[in-house]
Amino acid sequence: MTEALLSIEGLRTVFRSGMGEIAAVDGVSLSVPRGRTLGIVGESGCGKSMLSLSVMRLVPPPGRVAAGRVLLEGRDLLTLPKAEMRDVRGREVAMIFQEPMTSLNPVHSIGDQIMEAMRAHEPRAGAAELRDRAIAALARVRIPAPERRFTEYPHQLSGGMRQRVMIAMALACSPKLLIADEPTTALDVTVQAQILDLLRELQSETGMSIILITHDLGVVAEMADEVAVMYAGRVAERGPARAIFEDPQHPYTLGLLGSIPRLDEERETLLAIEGSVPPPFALPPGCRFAPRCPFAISPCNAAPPPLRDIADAHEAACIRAPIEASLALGNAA
Amino acid sequence: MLRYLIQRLLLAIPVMLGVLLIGFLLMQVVPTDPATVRAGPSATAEVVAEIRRDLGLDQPLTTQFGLYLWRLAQGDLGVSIINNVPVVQELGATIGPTLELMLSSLVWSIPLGILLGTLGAYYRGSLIDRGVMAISVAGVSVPVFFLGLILIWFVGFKWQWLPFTGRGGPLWTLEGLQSIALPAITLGGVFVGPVARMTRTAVLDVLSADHVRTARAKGLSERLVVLRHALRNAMVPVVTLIGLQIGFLLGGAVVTETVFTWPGVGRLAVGAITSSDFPMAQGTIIVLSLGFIIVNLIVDMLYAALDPRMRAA
Ligand SMILES: Nc1ncnc2c1ncn2[C@@H]1O[C@H](COP(=O)(O)OP(=O)(O)O)[C@@H](O)[C@H]1O
Ligand SMILES: [Mg+2]
Repeated sequence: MTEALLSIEGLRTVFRSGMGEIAAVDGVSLSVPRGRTLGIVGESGCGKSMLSLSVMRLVPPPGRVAAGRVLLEGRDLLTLPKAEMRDVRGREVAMIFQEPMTSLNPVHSIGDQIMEAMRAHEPRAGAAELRDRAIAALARVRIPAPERRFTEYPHQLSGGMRQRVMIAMALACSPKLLIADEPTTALDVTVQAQILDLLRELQSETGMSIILITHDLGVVAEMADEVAVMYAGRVAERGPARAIFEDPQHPYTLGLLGSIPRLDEERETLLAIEGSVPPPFALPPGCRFAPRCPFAISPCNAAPPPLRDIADAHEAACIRAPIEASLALGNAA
Repeated sequence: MLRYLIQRLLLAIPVMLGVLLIGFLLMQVVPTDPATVRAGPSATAEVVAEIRRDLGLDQPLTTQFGLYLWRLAQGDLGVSIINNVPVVQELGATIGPTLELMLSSLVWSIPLGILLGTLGAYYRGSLIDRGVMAISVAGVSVPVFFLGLILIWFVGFKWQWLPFTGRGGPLWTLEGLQSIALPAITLGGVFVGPVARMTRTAVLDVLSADHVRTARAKGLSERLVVLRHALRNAMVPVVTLIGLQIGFLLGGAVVTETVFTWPGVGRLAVGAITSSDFPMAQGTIIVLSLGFIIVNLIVDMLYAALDPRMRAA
C-alpha cells in the first residue's frame, strides 16, 4: 500500500453539554491512501460529519476537537496557525456537503462563488483569467452551457446541478483530498449515480484522494477502495473494501450488510439491525454495539473492545471476531 | 422584476385611496366645526352658514369626498382656514426640510446600526457584543422627545455648542448643517438601536446557515465570510425590518420637528391639527402617507435587488 496522504490518529471531538462532555467522535484512527477513496459508513448520528468537520477544523461551537492528530502529508492540521489552516481549506483539502439545496449562497451567482474559491488562494489572479477558469471548472463537472450557468443563481439549478457546482467549486484549486459528506443522500437515484460517476471520473483525472461519507453501503461498494465502518463515534471495522464486503467481521458490519439472520423468524430474511445508535450521552460501558448485537456475550459489556488485526490490513473492534460464516447464518445466540 | 414593481405600484393605489378616505373621515368626526373657526368668535350664524356653503360643508359626505378627490386630482388641496394660504404652497415649502431631516438622520444611523449589529454578531458573547446590546436596548427604550430634550438641554442650552431651534439654511451651508445636527442626531439616534438589534439577530441567524459552512470550507477569511456570506444575506431581512419601521420613523419625524421647531411637514401637521385647520391637516396627512408608500416601494425594490430569487418573480 502506498504512503497515506492523510492519517487521523486518536481523534476525539467533544461537545460540552449540561451532562458534561460528550464525545461525538471518540478515538478514531484512519488513513486515506493517495489517489484512492476511503469510504466511511455508519448510521446517522454515529459521528461521520463531526469527523469530517474535525479534519477541516470546522466543528461548530460548542463542539471542539479535544485530542488526536490529523496529519496531512505529515503536517498536523490541528496545530496549524489559523491563517495556515485557512490556506489548507479549499486548496489542499476541499469539502462538499449533503445539502446541495442550501450549501450554496442564494444571493451570489454561481460564477462569483466559484471565482471566490479561487481568489481565496490566488489573490493575484486576474478577473478575466478567473472567469475563464470558473467556466472551465463548470464544464469539467459536465454542466451543460457553462457560460450561461456562470451568471445564474443557485435557485435556478436543480439539486443535482447544484451538487455539481459544489464539486466544481471544491475542485477549483485542485485539492489533494476531497471530503464528500453524504454527497448524494439528498438526490434521487439516477442523479445519485451520475454524481458518483462524476466523482470517480474526476478522481482518475486528477489523482486526488476522496473521503466518501455515506450511510449507504451500496455507494461504498461502488466507490471505495478502503472502508471504515463507524459506530457511535468509533471505528467498528476497517480494511480494504473487498475484505469488508466479502469477509465482514464486526456484527455491526454484518448487520449493515443485511446478513444477520433474524432470531425469531425465517432464517432467510435479510434485515437491518434493530434499535438505533445510542446518543453520545447514553453510551453503554462496554462495546457500544453490545445492546443491539445478537452475538453479544457478557465480557462484551465489560470494556470497549479495541481494534484487532483480523487479516492483512483488516481490523475489527469485536472480541467475538472472527465470526464464522456458519455462526452468522446459524445459531447466533 | 418589472412585473413585481408594477404589481407593487398598483397595490399602492387602493392603499392611497384608503388613506385619503380615512383622513377625510377623521376630520369629519373632529368636534370643532371648521366654518366656525374660520368665521372667528364674533361671527353671526348667517356668516358661519355662508362660509359653510363656500367650503361645501353643507353637502352630503359622499359628495364632499368626491369633490375633494376631484380637486385633489387637479393639485388643489384647498386653502388654509387659518391664514388663507394655499395648502399646496405650504406643503411645498415644508417637504424639503422634512426630506432633509429624514435623510440626514438615516444616512448615519442605518450604517452605524448595521455596523454595530455586525460587530455584535461577529464577536458574539464578548464584551463588544454586550456593549452593542446595551446600546441597542437603550436606543429602543429612549423616546424621541426625551432624547431631543436632553440634547437641547445640554448641547444646545447649557454648553451652547449647537443651535436647537429652526432651520439655519440649506444643507450645504454651515448654518444649515449646524441647525440640522441636533434634530438629525435625535431622530437618527432612536433608530440606531433597532437597526443594530435586527442586524445582529439576522447576521447570527445566517452565520449558522449551511452556505456559511461552505464559505469557510473554501478557505475564506472570517472577515469575508461575515461580510460576503453573512451580512450580505442578512441585508434581506434587515431591509424588510427597516421597512416595517417607516411608521415609527415618520412619527419620530413629527415629534422631532415639533421639539426643534423644524419647519417640516410634521410640525405643519401638528399645528394644523391643533388649530383645526381642516384642509391643511388633510394635506399633511396625504403627504406623510405618500411618503410612507414611496418608502415602502423603495424597500420593495431594495428587497428585489438584494435577493435574486425575487428578481425572477
Ligand atoms: N451541536 C451539537 N451539540 C451536541 N451534540 C452534537 C452537536 N452536533 C452533533 N452532535 C452529536 O454528534 C453526534 C454525531 O453527529 P454527526 O457527526 O452529525 O453524525 P452523522 O454525520 O454520522 O450522522 C450526534 O449523535 C450528536 O449527538
Ligand atoms: Mg452527517
